[in-house]
Amino acid sequence: MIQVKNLYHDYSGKGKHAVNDISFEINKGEIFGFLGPSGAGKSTVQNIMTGLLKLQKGEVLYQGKAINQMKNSFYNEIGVSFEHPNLYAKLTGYENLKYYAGLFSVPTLDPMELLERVGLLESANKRASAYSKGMKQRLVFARALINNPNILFLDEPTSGLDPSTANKIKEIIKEKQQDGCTIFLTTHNMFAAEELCNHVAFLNDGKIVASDSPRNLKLQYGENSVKVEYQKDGLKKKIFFLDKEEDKKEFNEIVNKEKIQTIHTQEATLEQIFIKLTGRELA
Amino acid sequence: MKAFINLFKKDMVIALRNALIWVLIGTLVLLVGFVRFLMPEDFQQNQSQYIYDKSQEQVLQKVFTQSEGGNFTIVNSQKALEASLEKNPYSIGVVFEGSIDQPQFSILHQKNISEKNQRIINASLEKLIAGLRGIERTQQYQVEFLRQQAKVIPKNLTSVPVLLTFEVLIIGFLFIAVFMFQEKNEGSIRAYQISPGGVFLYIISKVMVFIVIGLLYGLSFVLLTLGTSVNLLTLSLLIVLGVALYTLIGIIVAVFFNNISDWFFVGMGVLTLNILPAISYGLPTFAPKFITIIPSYSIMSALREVLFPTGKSIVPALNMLIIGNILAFGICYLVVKRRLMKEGQ
Ligand SMILES: Nc1ncnc2c1ncn2[C@@H]1O[C@H](COP(=O)(O)OP(=O)(O)OP(=O)(O)O)[C@@H](O)[C@H]1O
Ligand SMILES: [Mg+2]
Repeated sequence: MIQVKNLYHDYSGKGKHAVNDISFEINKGEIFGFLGPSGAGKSTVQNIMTGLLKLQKGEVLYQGKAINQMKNSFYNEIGVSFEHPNLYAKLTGYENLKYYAGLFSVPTLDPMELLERVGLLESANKRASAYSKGMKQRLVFARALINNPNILFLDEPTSGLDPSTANKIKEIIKEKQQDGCTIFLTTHNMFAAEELCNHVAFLNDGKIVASDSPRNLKLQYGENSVKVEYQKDGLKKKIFFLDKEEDKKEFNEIVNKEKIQTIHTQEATLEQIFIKLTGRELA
Repeated sequence: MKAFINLFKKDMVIALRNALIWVLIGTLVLLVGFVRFLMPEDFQQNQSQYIYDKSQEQVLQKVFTQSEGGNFTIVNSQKALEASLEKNPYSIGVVFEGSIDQPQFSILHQKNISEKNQRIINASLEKLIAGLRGIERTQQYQVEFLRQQAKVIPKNLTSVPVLLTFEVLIIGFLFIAVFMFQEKNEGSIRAYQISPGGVFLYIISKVMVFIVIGLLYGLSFVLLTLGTSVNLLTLSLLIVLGVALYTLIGIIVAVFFNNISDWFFVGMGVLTLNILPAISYGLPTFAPKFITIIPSYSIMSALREVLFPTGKSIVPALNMLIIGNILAFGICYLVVKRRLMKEGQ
């Protein structure tokens, strides 16, 4: 349904690519997770896909139709939640949704119901400028849903939210998927990704380093990793994927030579796989 | 249409919640007070003239000591002349040199005098000399003299077209910039970018908001200073065209900046350039050719004609404003589409 082909982006025009030859495909009704550390280029890709940022090189196709040839009516079909809240500060939460809804030429949802879903009903008549960061973020998320979109772009929808509020948001995301919505979800949060996504792509330094379903990634990069804690100038932690020859060797060495405190076998998390692939932490 | 009304309402609500609206109301009150109560209403009416006869024959001196010379007062020395002017700042001093056949007048005054007044003084002096020579004046001169006198507009009210033009400039050019920077700052412009709203609606809605504010402001100002005797329809048309044009120009400039401080030099430069015609208005000798192509010149002269009709046509000014609006809209559309609605190069 959505195809991204050989996408590049260079902000400064000096050959330093924030996005460097990225290609992927998103199927209809799928939640596609875009994971990577800060500065990897996730938001840049989302912004190009929504047409916010000018397409420099490569292709973004929606059912074969290029983003740079879309008419304004394309925006009736999509919903976008931004990583930095961007609201009309002088309007209340309710007004922000109501006036935004008025821009669409498709049926829109009731602002009050949406506010209730994201837990902002009590603050409906407060100005957005008086909202906390998390409240603003929820309002931006609610706004993305107002036109009942077929495609949702969510840039860090749960970051900075407390667990119970984050769960509310995740519930809504799952519900949207059940309604047939295709969702592009950007996040640092591997647990959220694992829980929600049908497919994830790992992004590092503007490049995709792995792309598959969470299950396949785990199969591929070893279900059975071993976490060892040992004493050597303080407590050390290390994860080994025993399917790999060199990991196996190193593991044996440590078990033989070091003072081991605990050994746990564990199912690899996406986070561990990411670290394995890039040598970088996510957050 | 539904989308337009919705967007217009949103922009209007935001405009009315902006502190600037209070600044506007404040300046309106101030300006009305200034025009109505502070400026001297008409200092030309009891304007007296003092004449100092410095010529060899001292004809004027002799004549006037014989018969009292109307609104002329003869003084005996340059000193006495200056003292009289000092006492009565709105009076005119005249120094006569040469002879009756070749008269030479120097005119002294403290306040600026308009070109019109200058002509009145010239005419009255010529009449005086002619009378002394015993030659009848040509009809023409007298007619003009009378007509000029009949048309004198109280000084305080002549400032109304200038102040009104300022208002059009400020509301259109300055406020739209403030508005757009607010949208860029809070990021709401990005939300608009990924809505089906589009460039056209964005511009039209902003322009409409400022037209409404400009009309409310301009009409109140005129009604409170000049009363209801003016042609309100033509006045409204002028305000609409003026505010629309300056809002469009304001958008064109503001698109290229992110905040007031980046905008300041360019913005103030454009604003200053557009204020030049006001200087020309108060100082008719300062009328370089280029000034007439600045839109505020057309606005100001047309406003003056609407408020104080002299029978001149305002159609050329209206044409210029309409063409200006069409041009500005085209440019505005392009820059908003390229620079405001899309990020990156
Ligand atoms: N407007 C911009 N101008 C110049 N460079 C930019 C701009 N926005 C992003 N970049 C650069 O592009 C790279 C990718 O940024 P991007 O915002 O896409 O990362 P991200 O993966 O979304 O990070 P985060 O998780 O922190 O949101 C970074 O190196 C960043 O410095
Ligand atoms: Mg980002």
